[in-house]
Amino acid sequence: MRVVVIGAGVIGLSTALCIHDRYQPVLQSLDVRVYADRFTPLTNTDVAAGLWQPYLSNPSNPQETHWNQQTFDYLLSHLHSPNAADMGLALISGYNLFHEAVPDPSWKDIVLGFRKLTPRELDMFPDYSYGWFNTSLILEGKRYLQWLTERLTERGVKFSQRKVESLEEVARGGADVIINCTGVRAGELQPDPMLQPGRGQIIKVDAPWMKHFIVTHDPERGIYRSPYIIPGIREVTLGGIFQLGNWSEVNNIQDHKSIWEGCCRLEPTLKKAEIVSECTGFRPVRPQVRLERERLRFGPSNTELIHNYGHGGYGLTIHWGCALEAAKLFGEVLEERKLLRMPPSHL
Amino acid sequence: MPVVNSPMGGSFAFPQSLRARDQLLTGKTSVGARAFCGFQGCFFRDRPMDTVRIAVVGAGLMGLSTAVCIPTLVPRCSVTVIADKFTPDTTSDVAAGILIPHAYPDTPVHKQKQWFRETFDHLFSIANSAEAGDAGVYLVSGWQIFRSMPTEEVPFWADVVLGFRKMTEAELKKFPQHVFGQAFTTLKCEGPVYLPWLEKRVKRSGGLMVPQRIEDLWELHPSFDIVVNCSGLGSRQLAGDSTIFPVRGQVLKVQAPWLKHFIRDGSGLTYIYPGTSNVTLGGTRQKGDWNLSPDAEISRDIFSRCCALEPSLHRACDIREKVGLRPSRPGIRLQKELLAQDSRRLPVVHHYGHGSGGFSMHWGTALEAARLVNECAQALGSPAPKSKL
Repeated sequence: MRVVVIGAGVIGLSTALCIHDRYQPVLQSLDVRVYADRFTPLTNTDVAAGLWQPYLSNPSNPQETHWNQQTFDYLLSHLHSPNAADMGLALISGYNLFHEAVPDPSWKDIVLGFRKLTPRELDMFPDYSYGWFNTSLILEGKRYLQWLTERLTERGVKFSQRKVESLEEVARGGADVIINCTGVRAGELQPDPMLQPGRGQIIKVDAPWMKHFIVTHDPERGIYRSPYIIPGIREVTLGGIFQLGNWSEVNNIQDHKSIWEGCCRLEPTLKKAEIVSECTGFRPVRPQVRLERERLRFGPSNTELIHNYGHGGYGLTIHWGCALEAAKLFGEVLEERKLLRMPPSHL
Repeated sequence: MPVVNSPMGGSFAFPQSLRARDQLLTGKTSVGARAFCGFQGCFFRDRPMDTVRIAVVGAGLMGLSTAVCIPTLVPRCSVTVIADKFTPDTTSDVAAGILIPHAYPDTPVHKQKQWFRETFDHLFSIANSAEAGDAGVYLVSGWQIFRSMPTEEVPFWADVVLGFRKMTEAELKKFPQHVFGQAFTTLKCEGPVYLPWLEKRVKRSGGLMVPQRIEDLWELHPSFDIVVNCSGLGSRQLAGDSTIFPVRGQVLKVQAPWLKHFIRDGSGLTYIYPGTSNVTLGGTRQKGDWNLSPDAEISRDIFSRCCALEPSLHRACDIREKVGLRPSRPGIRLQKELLAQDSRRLPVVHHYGHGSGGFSMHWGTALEAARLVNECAQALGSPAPKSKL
């Protein structure tokens, strides 16, 4: 049973790990491979700041709320182990700021210690008049991808660097099941008019005194278009750019100014921070995540396809729930092909 | 050691033992004015007759913050900070500098609350300014956790820190050995950065730093009109105060940059305080122990207790040991005293004895000390070297 996962960002690698750990014990012939043209540190996951936080509004697919919760719980359970730092995982508290009162988010009971900001706290942010404080998680993309790669390598999962030109090529190459985790460039393998790049640019600075995230919101401008400051394990990510349809991989000077000025206005102590790096990434924006099966037919044989892409700006936030769902779909494939003697264990 | 800049232009190294030198010159061994003509000879200032000459003994947190406050309250004064140790070698450099007050049995609660509030508000405005990095002051959130229900669920300082509340059940799951907890946001004030910043402020307002060990406060007479005693444990000798004693604290400074929250066990014995360049793990409270050398067994114990609270610390590296002796006293001594010997008079303002609560109280008590200094200065009238009080 050959499984090819296309894509080596957080979705590809976590899905590969989830499927391997669930089914390798019951299916000796399971052979999982990862094909990708870009590996860490060159994926979009590497650019993400890594804060666990879903969008403020409810997702159009209610399953996504469940997947977000599953991811948070999964990560929280790893926090208590010495491995947490190796995974790029840490608890972090911080502020969400608004220009006016807003309803509480659906995830308020998922994160820890959610509460409204007090007047003295709001005094720190003169441009904002309302906000929340809560404890959430950081999962640093780069460190997490390295950790996932190590875990997969230990398990004998093979990696192959190649540019996949078509699903057919992979099917004819002998794959029984293809997991499509190609993120923002999924359209190259199968046109998807609902998928668009949400270009983001971020500046990483050295500001080790910053212990809180600060995310601002401006409903007129839209999500990710308002300044945010997210400390990682060593560096702090500054951002606030979201451009739908822009494929430019080059750092833009106007965007740089916008980020820098917005974040320094929000947090004046940053003026003394040293800039370490700057990069551009593309959020795979879609009205909802595409997580479903499809059957391909090339020639005489059927190849099962499981799509798992379109996670927008909340890939790290939702990844494990989606990996579990993809693994469940994979289990259905195994059942249909009578490869499983027992029903798949509940995930 | 800091170079002393003389107003006369050059800089010079201060002689190690003035008394020894003067014994040589004068053949006298008393600690009277004679032995200290050296002081005046070494650096005299061109000062107008009505400048009040103030000596601050001690260059830790109390000495430096008092030296900053004094010129704001006392008109026409000169401030000289004299100490045998300066940053980074003071007790204040070892402390993590987290603002969580210590309770003093002999100091009224309303006073403690006032001083804590003054300190918090002062540092809070620095933390939100462009100076924050230079001053080493910033916000940090976290938890104080208890193995059994505390007698006081809401301490006196709850409304001074930010966002104080009880921890939720979900938050307490992280600490299975603990049954109750408080979550809040407070400030951290890092000694090795804050003290040099205070030194700069002292110098900017014309203050001098003089590295010299004082054995007796009378050494400062008649070169100075008022002495401010911020010598911490040194007050056992300098003020004859037997109620002050060391409480030895050993800590580890480690690299664990993923930690963003403080964790403090309500007993105060075990704590994890993330800083700008390292994380402080503690600690110990050894009463009457003067030993400044780190103990390896204690280090292992501290590390193990902290890892029990925060398992990710097993990955911490670059572990360094430090020891500080908390200048502990049943209450903070903030008091004027007029020293008298024969016909000589020396007004002293005592400002010491903060124990574990130095950083939490320092600005409030420094302001009060400066007020007391001003009272002394007013009482002096227009001072001449031998004015009577």
